[in-house]
Amino acid sequence: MARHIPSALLVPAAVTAGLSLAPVAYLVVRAVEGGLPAFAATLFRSRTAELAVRSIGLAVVVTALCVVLGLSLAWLVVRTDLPGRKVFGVLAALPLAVPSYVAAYTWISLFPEISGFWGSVLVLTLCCYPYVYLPATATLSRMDPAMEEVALSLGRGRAPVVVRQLRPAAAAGGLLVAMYVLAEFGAVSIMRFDVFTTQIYTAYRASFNRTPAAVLGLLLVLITLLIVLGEARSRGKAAYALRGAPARRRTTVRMTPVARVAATGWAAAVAALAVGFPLAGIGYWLLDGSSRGIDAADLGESVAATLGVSAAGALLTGALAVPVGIIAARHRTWAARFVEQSSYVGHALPGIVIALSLVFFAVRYAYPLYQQWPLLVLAYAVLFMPAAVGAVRASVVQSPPVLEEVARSLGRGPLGAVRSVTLPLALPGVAAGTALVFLTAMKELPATLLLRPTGMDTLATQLWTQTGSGSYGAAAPYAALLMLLAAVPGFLLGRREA
Amino acid sequence: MSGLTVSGIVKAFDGAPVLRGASLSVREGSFAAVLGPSGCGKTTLLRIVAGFERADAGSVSLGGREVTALPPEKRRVGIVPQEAALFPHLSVARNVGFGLPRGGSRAEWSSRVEECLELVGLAGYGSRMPHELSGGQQQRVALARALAPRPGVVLLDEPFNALDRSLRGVVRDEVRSAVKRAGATCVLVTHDQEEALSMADVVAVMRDGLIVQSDTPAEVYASPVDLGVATFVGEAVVLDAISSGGVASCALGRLRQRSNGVAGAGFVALRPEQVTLTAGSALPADGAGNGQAGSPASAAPRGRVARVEFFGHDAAVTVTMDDGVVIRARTRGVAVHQVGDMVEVGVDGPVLFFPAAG
Repeated sequence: MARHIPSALLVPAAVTAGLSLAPVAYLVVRAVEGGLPAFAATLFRSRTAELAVRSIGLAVVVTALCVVLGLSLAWLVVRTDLPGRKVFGVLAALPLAVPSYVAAYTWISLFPEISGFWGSVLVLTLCCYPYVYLPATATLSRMDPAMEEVALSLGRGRAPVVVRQLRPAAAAGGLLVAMYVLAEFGAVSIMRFDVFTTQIYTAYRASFNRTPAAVLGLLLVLITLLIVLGEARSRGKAAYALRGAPARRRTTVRMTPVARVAATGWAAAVAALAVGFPLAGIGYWLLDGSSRGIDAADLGESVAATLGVSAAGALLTGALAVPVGIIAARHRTWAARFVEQSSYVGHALPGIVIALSLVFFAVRYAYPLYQQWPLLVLAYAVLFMPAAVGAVRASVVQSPPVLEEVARSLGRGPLGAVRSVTLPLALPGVAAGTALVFLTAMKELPATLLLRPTGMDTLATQLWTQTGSGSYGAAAPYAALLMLLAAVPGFLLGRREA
Repeated sequence: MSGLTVSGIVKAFDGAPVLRGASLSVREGSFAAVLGPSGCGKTTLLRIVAGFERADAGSVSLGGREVTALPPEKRRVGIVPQEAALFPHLSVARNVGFGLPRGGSRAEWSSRVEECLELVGLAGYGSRMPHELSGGQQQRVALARALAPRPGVVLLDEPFNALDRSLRGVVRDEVRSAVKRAGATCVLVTHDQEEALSMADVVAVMRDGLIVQSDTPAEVYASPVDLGVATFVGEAVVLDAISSGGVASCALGRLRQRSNGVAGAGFVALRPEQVTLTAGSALPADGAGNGQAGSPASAAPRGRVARVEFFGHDAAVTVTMDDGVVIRARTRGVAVHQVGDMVEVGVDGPVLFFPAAG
């Protein structure tokens, strides 16, 4: 395919990359501003090494569990005769609508003894596995069954072929999970498990000296960069573009009765723990009676603010992700890699660091934006770019490059070919990516806390305020509404995939 | 001559040369086939003509217009890729109309689309979606799509590979007649010599990044430029030989050469249908038309039939000669020879002689 990236794609992609990189630049400035000795002092504290072990350990365990959960559920829902697979298909995507801090709050409010490492693992795994499950179902339902049939005819099982085909989806999803965990703030702080993000927050709040927080943030960015490089290597040089038209045929694996019972039990248990338990927890607190006396007008205002700001963030993110995703799927030059990988950086930074860097920029360079909603929308774009870029890239990869070449030979320019062929074919992926961002933005807590205009409250900040003061009952209606709102696009996503 | 002229194309990928100065000219309205084994660079040549790759050196001109530096969309080159590559989100009509000027009248657009679908025998299929068509129909839609904007040349990139064998012959005929009716200049890239010989007006044989011979199918078959072309285009029996005075001496005796070449050691190549087999006891017939030059009757080469393959319209007989040389002959109709029979081997018509390389 062409080595030359059209500038009409490269320029907006470079702007997006710049937007993602700006917070890192700010971090570097902040970290070294206090002088090198102060920088070194923070970096080489034994507490720093301990934090690194705790953060990385949590990310590794949660990612591994999410890959197992996500792939097994995707395979059961798409490829087997699992009873009620349509329902399970919807249920399996629903945890995306459960904010991790809400899940953490329901678990710890009912079982205080699980706080710490394993409590964090439990909550984060149940909240994050859809990041693997969704791309895996998309890949499985577009996979050509002929490849599996070839493997069967050669006396091999289906598994090697399926696993091989699923690798890009599993790697991309696993990468998102690992980065999500490293950037997680709410759930771990509720579970009282101290990691980089909580320590950064503490350092920021505790003193006027922002150097330690910046140093820790920088270290976290470096760890994430290593993960990104590892993922790029695992993707390798293999071209996953399908040749010819995508498969329209489906095959279904018939399970033995015992396997059916076990599989149904497995899918049901995951759904019960990931969705059922938080709902039951919220229900318990709603019925408890301490949630009476909520102001309906407050509630309505929060709903409107949440929807508006999240939708604006999702649309901006989707629009910015399209050129980056196309470049990432079609080009292998250093510029293409740079653009793609720098867009991932935004997700690696904890929301709190992005938010503070944007506050800094706004105060210095764009004061009218300070404490206005466009700044929050921008923060959402930086934070959730990886999910959108991943979705765009994955769907562009699925449409064979030869289609663009044919369009070129029929008189379309490089951009015309993208617009008339690649984009329409990638549209479901772009829409799914945008919906994913919308879902995630509605649950966003730390950046929203810092960047919201004075007097504006989203459901998340309301929930956080109430939980912070220990009034679990008063928090419950916000939690319930938040899950209800987020479940609508989640339900559509799940139905589309199933 | 307008049509397509490609001259001296050089192309390397990451330092590995793929094309080493390939040249080709195709007269306007004629059907050319670029024939070569996989990896010879024929697909790269096609991609350079289409503008998808840029040549390191050399030029491409179309209808007398130099297009070497133009992007694909400015070249007026139609392309039919290996697996049709119809746009899956567009109906058949919108696929075919994809390259037609936008902003023209709706009626004009529809009539050209319908005209092109008729050309490929798919009138009335406009509202179908690509996945509702068979493989052969998809190929024909791809051809209609390529022909619709009246391109200077249509490139077919091994378009029949993905098709069922029984279907291939039919689709080939339909494609060829559609291209001829449209009066389009056409270049087919293929590794299938039968396809090239049966479809094209001109066959260009490609090897190691060069077009080594470009001629009518009959001429390429009858007078290959070297032993490589002789064995690649059609079957050939190759024997060690020594040439002098237009006669080559080999295991089958002294054979008349098609042309006087350089005398000395080399190879003789003959087509299996030139080999005649007679039952072992029969006396060899002397006279006109016999390729054996002045060989004494008693010295007629003999061999034993090792294998008989029956194909219906003809049969292939493998004969092991007394001195161990193996010969493959084609005989018409019902095979009269059985495995184990002794036969005398004769040669009908002049043979090809190629001096040993170096």
